[in-house]
Amino acid sequence: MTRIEREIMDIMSSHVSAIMARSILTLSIQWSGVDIHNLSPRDARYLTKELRKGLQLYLRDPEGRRACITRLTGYLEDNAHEGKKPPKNTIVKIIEESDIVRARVTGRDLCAHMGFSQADQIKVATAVSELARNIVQYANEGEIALTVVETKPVHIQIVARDVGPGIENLDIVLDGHYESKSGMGIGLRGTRNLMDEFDVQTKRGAGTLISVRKYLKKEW
Amino acid sequence: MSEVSSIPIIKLYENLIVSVQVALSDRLVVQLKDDITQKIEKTDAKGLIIDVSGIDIMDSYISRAIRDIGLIAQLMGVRTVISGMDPMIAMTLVEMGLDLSGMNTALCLESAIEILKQMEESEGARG
Repeated sequence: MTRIEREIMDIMSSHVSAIMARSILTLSIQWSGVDIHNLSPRDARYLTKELRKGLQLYLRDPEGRRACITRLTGYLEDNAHEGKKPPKNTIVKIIEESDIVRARVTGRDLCAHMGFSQADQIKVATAVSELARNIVQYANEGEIALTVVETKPVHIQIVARDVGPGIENLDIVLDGHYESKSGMGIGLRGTRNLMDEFDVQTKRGAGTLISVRKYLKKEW
Repeated sequence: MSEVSSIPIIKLYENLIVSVQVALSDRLVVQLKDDITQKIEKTDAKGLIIDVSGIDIMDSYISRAIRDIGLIAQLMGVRTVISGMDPMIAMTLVEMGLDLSGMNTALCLESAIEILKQMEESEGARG
């Protein structure tokens, strides 16, 4: 189930049973003929119309029906994406392993929106994964900020920040001659190879800030 | 006691197939290494296919986990093939400088089975 379907179900479930909500949603999607993975503003209006019809049949209480339809209309308006720009700045808190996946999926989505090639999307997602994993493994918690920069040269900027123990002997780690037991160096060097800009600020006992950029390249 | 999820290992003749479909956490990696070694012993498997087609991103940690599993199996005398790696993930691994050398690879499960067969035949010819 997509996020949008889940959230529509959430809204309806406070007015009708979950099973009813599911049926109404499924039938509305079928009857409106929209692609739920790819809702344009016009699709959103068609879907809202069908949802309203379904709710009229199964939700007797007029007040509740009105409230539900209002919420659905508002939600679908906000979430139809065509022509919508991705958020300029997204921050993903990194505390546990599942946040690593969240961060890299967010990174990949942003890159897809920005028009990066598949290959570059994967490189960015991999770099984000490395940075997030380092935070989880060495710093306990931190955050990754992803920023879309539209002034030329267009790029995505990723800043991984934590207040962990800092990286000791950064130069040696980045050099590649040091075989760390843990592999943090491999992740950092790998990230540096994948990105166009790479900068590390770290202070022992105070934390680490890693800033990377990937420029949007035109497809040939 | 709650149900703890684990990655299924499927036996196909004398081969084992592991298809990784979820994000590998520390716990899952440890569990998978355990499960594979136990299953190899129990089934006396001769071949192992690690299918990575379901993995969205292979970062250094995941790559090392997959490589470790392959090496463990090889140490136990099991011919190992990694199958289903997305070409763009492969390009990314090379660009990162990660090393999966020493591992046989295949584009898909069918090729992996073929490779295992060839490996068995060439070993027979030599012996």
